Amino acid sequence: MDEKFQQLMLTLAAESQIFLYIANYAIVGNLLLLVLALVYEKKLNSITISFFVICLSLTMSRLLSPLLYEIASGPTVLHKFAWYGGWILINVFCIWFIYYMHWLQKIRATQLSMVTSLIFIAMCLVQAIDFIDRATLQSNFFADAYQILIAVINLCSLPLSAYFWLVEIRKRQLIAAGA
Amino acid sequence: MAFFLILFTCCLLILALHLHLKLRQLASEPQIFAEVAVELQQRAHDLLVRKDQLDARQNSVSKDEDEHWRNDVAQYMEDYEQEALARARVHLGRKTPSVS
Repeated sequence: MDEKFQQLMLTLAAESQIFLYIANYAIVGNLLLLVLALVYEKKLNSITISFFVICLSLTMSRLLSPLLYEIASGPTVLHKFAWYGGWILINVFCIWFIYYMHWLQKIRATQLSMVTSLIFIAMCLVQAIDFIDRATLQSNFFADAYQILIAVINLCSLPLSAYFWLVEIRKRQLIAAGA
Repeated sequence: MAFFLILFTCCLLILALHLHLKLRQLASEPQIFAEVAVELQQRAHDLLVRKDQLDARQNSVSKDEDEHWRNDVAQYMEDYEQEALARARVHLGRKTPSVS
């Protein structure tokens, strides 16, 4: 089991160029979206909070992934849990942060913020499934699915959030026109 | 050992779902009304200040001024209601507004 895990780490490291490229693209794109949203909205609302949290999570993952790699290369199940649990904790923190900011500022939650939290839940789910598989069955079946799904979710989050921002602007226009 | 770690993972998942459901509650109708109230706060504040001024010089207040104030309050209430219902229709995708 441990050898399999080490192999997974090695394959991950070998393909990390692609992951790095995706992460860069996502961070630059989301930062641009955040700046655009701040310029367009001119205030703290659900849209800007959502974009900010997405940027925050990407930055955290970039900063923490080398550290987590290092810890996860250990032999026991606890080391593996540090990898998966760490990601799940980051995602749960992001969902909590979205909720807390809305609650604190008494802002109405838009569709964008709910889609953002759904994206984080999907991430948690993928991590949890792979961890449970790795800790019990060791079937390695999810290893490929895990890599692909995380990358796909990271890639999809940018166009999805942009689309739901446009939906929100369209709704505002509808309301201004008298619904 | 592994069992407890899996249990902990499941707990974290449930926590994430719970937070998501709480966030969904913040998109409901009361929150829409609260948002409109915040946006119309300046007008409500002006109305309250004028009411205070009218009360302060109660004896010399003219009927006209009082009537004018009442009309403004009625107008404010109507605008608030209309705006909130329009937003509830668009955001919650509702054909007819619910009676609340």
